[in-house]
Amino acid sequence: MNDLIIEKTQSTPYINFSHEHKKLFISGESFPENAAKFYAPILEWIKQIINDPNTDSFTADFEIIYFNSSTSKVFMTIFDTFENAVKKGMQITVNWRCDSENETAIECGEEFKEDLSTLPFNIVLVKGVENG
Amino acid sequence: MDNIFIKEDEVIENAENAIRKNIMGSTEGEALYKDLLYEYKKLLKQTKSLVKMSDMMQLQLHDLSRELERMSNTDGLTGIYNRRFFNEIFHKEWYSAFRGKISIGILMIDIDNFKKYNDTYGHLQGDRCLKLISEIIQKSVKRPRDMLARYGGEEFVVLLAETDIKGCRAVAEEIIKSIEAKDIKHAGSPYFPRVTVSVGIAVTVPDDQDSCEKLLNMADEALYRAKAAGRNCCME
Repeated sequence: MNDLIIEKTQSTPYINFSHEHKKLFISGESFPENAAKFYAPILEWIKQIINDPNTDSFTADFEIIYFNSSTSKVFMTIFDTFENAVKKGMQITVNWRCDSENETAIECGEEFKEDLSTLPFNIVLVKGVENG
Repeated sequence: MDNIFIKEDEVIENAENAIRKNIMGSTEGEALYKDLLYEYKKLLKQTKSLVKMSDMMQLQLHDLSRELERMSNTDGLTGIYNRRFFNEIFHKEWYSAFRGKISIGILMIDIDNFKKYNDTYGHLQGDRCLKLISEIIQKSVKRPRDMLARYGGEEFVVLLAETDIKGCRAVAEEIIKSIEAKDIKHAGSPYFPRVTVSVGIAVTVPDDQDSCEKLLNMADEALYRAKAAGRNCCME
């Protein structure tokens, strides 16, 4: 499996999937014109890693300060996929990292968390999360 | 209404009733129906979360936009309106006065010997003085449609809608008196031992020959006359 790195743009986040470190990192803002198209390679990568026989655990860090409705729907799909993988025995942890002063980002994290039952979803408060 | 998803919840209720009444006909049909209902409930829950998050984001953007608007209209140091916003409001009031054939007044206010004040006390104290003067002037600009703005360095402008020369003079004199009464020490001034202001007054009932710029120029010229007449006074 190859690593996947997508540089951030004005409307899309920075994405770094490291197969070696078993880590997915998304940071910045997300309001792509076509969320389905933008996130298609990411969803494909996720599908591959959860079906990879050599991978039994990985971490996903989300550090998103602003996102649109289409993005939140994609995130729900991602978390849903993770949740199904966790049910099948994979160890996945999601860290929803947000600035301790960004109430909206914190509340959104809580909203995502509420819909999940088996996926460990941590809301991590950090100081000074900025765009990308 | 305490829920915007009434119709969706009704669909779930009807589906659950159908399961209870056992009208599927076959075990396979019932199992499929239950699975579909489960998926529907899950997706509806997602949609509700999505709408909630979207609302939160929109509210945050709305608040930010209000704050940006306030910042773009305000002078950073004194907190009163800035010249850009003054021009915007002045144009509106001008056309309103033009249509209604009502008089409109401008006071151009300048702190006397302010350069000397900065030289004597330093720029930080100069900034404090500007802030204090703007607060004092603001107290004399009372009606909702009247407006005080920072026009330049130590220059302020007051817009007095629906005000004749008598009214303008009264406001100008009140400003001059209240600043003098505050007795802000000004050791560097060759004229008065305290901070004072000069005020130029211009009033007009706008007609075809008039313009906003012309009224501002008239106020500026009157301000020069007040300076020439010895400062700490107003001229028309």
